[in-house]
Amino acid sequence: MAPPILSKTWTIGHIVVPADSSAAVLHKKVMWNIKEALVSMGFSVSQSMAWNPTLNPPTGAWEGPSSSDLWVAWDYGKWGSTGFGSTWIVLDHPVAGQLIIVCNVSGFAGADGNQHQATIQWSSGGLFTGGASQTVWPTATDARTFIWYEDFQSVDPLNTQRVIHYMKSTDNKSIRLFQMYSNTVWSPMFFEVLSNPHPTFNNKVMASVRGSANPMTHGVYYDGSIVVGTNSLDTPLSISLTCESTLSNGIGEVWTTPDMNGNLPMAAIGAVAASPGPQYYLGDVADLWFGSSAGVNSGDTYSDHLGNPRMFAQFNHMIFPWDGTVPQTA
Amino acid sequence: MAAPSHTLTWTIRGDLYVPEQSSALEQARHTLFKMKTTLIGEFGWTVARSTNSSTTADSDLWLSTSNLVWAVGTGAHSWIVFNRPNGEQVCFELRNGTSSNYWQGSMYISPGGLFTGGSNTVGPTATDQITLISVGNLLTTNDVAPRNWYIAQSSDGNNTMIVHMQNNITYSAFFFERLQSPHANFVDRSLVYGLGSGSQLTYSNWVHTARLYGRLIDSTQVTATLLCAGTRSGGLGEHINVRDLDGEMLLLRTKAYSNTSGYKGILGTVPDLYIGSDLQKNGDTFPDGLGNPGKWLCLDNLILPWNNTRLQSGG
Repeated sequence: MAPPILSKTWTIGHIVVPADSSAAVLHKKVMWNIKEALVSMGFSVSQSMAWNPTLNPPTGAWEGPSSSDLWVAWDYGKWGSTGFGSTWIVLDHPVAGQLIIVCNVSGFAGADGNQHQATIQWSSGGLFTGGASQTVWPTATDARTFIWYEDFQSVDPLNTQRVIHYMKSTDNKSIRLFQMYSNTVWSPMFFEVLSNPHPTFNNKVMASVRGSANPMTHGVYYDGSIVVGTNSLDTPLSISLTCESTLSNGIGEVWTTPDMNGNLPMAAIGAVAASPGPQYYLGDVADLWFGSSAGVNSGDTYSDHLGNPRMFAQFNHMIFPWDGTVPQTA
Repeated sequence: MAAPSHTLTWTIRGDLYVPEQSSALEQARHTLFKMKTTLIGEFGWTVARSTNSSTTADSDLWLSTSNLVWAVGTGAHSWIVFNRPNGEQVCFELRNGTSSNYWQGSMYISPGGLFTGGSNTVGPTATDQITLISVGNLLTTNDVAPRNWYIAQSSDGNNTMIVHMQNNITYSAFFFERLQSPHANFVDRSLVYGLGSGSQLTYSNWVHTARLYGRLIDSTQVTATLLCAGTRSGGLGEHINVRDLDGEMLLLRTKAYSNTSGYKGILGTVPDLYIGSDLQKNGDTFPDGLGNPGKWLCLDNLILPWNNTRLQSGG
């Protein structure tokens, strides 16, 4: 269909994390750069705890907790399973809510392993408190868990260059991030304040973080309900994305070949409360679309209504505002 | 969400009552005859050709209910070809699969108005013919109980919606939709829907199954569905079954989507046809965006233009 006109102004960027001879180092660099990208988009550090390799030379030592950012470089991240220490950080969203990233891993990883894993939670009310040490990180009474000492990054291939794409609306109401390697999408993070919200919705930040390969699909976000927000009573909500639909599918799942004008679908996205309680339409997700689920590759681009090239880019099934550059996908 | 105002000007009848008859045959005759006389008398339709099962002519031979005769196969039976105001033609043929099945019949469309031929044993044909019902559910039921027709037509005659009801259940629907913002290959073309079954103005029939048909300018016949906001494999109205805080019910704009291979895509917006939620009941009405009461009517999941009168829903 005809290209839409953006409703917001966007800042779009990317960070290249080069391949490394060590998978552990690469994963540490990716996670640190994701944190850096979030900070560059307006998240601020509320509290952190990190491994400072310069302390107690030559071994290093834990530092914190502190209200400043102690995770100042990739090698300040240290991953630990139960009983071992983990670098962690609490980030304040520029509008509302808090995100915690804990370098906490499953199984017997010991004192620095499985750096592709993490624990990532969201507090709509910004209630994370009580962080005491590298083994006692903050908790929140309204915490919603996205990743629970499980995969956030790909472990395969181990040492391939990663590209972290990030974008932010200038009103701070939409912040999006994901990483790519070898044309595979990982680690999408969405933080969205809805446009045209339903009157029952408090319209706090709707958040979603996902750890799996190529997850930005109709199956995950349209058919599933992994996004969380809160209703007017601050009851946690599971939220599904909506779009124009037919034949029991999103339009992009059935319209997978160019139409008579050579166009593919670009379906506007909304949000509907999936549970608990009444399933209200909550509002619109600005400047995000579902595209075709087939015949399109991540990194394919579309012109805008003025014919300017590469002003929209598709990754998996989702189409994002773009800046005219060629998307780097590997 | 707030209801819109009508985008087209509509002539609407929702009180086309057919009282109980003495037999299934008489009920079927009176029901179809009521539709025919109303379309001709009030909606500008004309008869191009017909047969009363004995005589065939380029005129209206359905002059009384007794002229409506059903037969199996090539037995002598009745049919009629209507000219819609925009030149498209519609043929109803009273062939049934079993002699006592007076609810059965056939329905064909000729977008170019090309029906020709036919006799009292075979129906007419058109080179651009679209078959909507072939010896199938035309009226759906043999019940002798009262019936009602809802008929709405736009002032330009391009859009017509016809619904047959009995005992507050929709039993047949014949829709002719000229789309707004049409695809370049569908300008001045109509999508048509013809189906009989109980309670069938539903997401299942209109959104989840391709039961709309049309011919593109290049003459390709396409099958289409309605497109509306949805999630989790369903329309929003299949998930949202509550009024919102303002007391408003769901009302979703519809577009038409061609699902024909090689011709997939949006054909256009269906004017003044919305789809709602499973919460709504037949006869529920909404005000329009200006607060005028009774401007929208719920029939199953669909929401149609209304004129703020009382719906006579049959029985």
